[in-house]
Amino acid sequence: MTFVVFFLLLCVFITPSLRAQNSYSEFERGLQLTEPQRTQVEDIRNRYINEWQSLRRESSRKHRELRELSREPEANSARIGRIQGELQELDTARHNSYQQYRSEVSRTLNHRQREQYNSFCDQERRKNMQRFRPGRHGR
Amino acid sequence: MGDKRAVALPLFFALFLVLITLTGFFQIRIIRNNIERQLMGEAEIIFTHVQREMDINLEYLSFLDRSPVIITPYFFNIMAFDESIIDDLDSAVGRLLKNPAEKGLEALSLANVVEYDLGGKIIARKGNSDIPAGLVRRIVSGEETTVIRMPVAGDRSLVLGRRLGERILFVRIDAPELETLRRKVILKDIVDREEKRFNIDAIKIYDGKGDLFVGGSDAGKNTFLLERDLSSKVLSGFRMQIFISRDLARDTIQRSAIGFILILAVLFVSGAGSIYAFFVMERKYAKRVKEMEREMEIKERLVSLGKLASGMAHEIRNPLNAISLSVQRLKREFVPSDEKKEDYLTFLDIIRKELTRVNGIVEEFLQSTRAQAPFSREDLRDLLEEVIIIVGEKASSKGIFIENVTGTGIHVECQRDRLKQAFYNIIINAIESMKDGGKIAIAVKQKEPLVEISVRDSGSGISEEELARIFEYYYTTKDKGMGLGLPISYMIVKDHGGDIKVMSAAGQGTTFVIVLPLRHDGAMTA
Repeated sequence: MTFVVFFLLLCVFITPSLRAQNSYSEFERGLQLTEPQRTQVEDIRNRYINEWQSLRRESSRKHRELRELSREPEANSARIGRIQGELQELDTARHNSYQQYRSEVSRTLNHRQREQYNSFCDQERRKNMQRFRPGRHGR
Repeated sequence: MGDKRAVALPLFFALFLVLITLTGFFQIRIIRNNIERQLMGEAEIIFTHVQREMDINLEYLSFLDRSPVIITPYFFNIMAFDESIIDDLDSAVGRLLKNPAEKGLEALSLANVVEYDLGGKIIARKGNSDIPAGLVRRIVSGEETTVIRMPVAGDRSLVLGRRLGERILFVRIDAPELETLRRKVILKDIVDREEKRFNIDAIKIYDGKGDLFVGGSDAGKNTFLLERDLSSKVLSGFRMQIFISRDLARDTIQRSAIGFILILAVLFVSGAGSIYAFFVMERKYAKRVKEMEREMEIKERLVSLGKLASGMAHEIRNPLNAISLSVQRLKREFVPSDEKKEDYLTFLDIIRKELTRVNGIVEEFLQSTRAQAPFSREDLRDLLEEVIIIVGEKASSKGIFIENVTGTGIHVECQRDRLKQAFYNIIINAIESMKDGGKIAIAVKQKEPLVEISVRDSGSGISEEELARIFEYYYTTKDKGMGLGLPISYMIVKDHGGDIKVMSAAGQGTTFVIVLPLRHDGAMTA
């Protein structure tokens, strides 16, 4: 009985750390995507990557504009405020776009794969995402 | 014994201080070593953590190049780092366009930079890479002032072009250079974040050539440095320096040192104070012992002299009685013829007077030595009043006023006649010391279980030298004095378990303080 309790406790303590050691490659291997699934997921990725790039370009342009305007902040205060608002909107759009991407990818996965995917994303978010500045996704 | 202690105590104390100082010194050294170890441990933890962060991020970056099937949140964030690169490039290109005369294209640390005129003709270049003609046309035509082409599957280079006034500048960042920039951005982000998170002075990363790769913030002067190679596959040959401020360590050591010095100072002051107090006490004790020894000596002398005098008095008394009786008979039965009768009677009177005087002396001796007389409870005021009545006439004749402020109801257990004798001697002594009249004040203070009777005169006072001898038998400064009164008073008071103190200064009067126990069984031990 003691041995069983000890074993269970060991499992409780060791399992999360083992899981936490999973790298992306292990995660991808563990998903065991079928060929049609892989094609579908890659299509979704390519579609969204273009959208994200365009959003990033737009964001960069706005940042550049903001920098220019910030040289004379008093004269351009109204435009600065407007651009800051637009940047916020771009961030939100990018975030929403990513959530949409996740939901589309999830739909192509079966129950087990979906659980693994969500778990891995949560793990990443928990361990790393919290350190990035909110709204800028790593900037 | 005292001399030995006078040397041993300070020596012991000095040894003790030296030991404490040594202990404190080693203690601070231990603290310093512990802090060094702690700093090293902390630096190692930070080093490992930062390295792990770099590995994870760079691993994701390498995956990104291989197009991961699923974009996880981490990839999504890393992709956004290109924005930072573009922002930095744009700022650098903007600066160069505004200040063309400064350094030319060399001002940019990038490999491929091309400058065009407004006609689209190349006027300066750095590096060999070409810029896509379509992008140049978009700028030259004035359609756009800035163009950006992100890496695509066929061409993994990043191109940025910008027009400012008459100048057009393009930069092309090839895949390896872009990879390096991405790494820099990622590592800079990690370094900035970890510096803030761990509150450390600086983290610096050097590439394989030893050039600073990431980390611009200057390390403070007082820092602990840990420098090691990064055991990373991606960052081969890279080294990382971690600077941790020693301020906290310095503060800890300073606090310990100040605390130790304070303890040392307190120990020194208290130790020196204790030694000083010890010597003062010892001196006081020695003085007291000396006084007691002197008192004992006086008392012993008084007792032995008293015994001798008592024996002699008894022996003298009998012949005195015989002489007295013979004188009486001579006066009564053997009066000579008329012509010598007057002289005869005069001589007999002289003999009688001298006999009376000798008898008085003998009586006084006997009185002083009657230590076995019974004790009775007496009112002190009555006792003193009786003495004042006896000496009153003598005092009045010398113009001396005796003031007795003794309160009623103070009772003392004493040998009545002997105590009266003691007071009598002291007051008579006071009267005789006052040649030009004055005042004698008698006061009583009850201080349970004692009573203090003070007799203060306004006479000529006693010098210090005389004070030391006034209780000695036969010591007198008066012409007609016998030197018996005060020693006898002293002995009587001592027999009552009390004490006599004399305070006087020449020309300022004298105060005798007689301290007596109120009850016979409560005799003073001193």
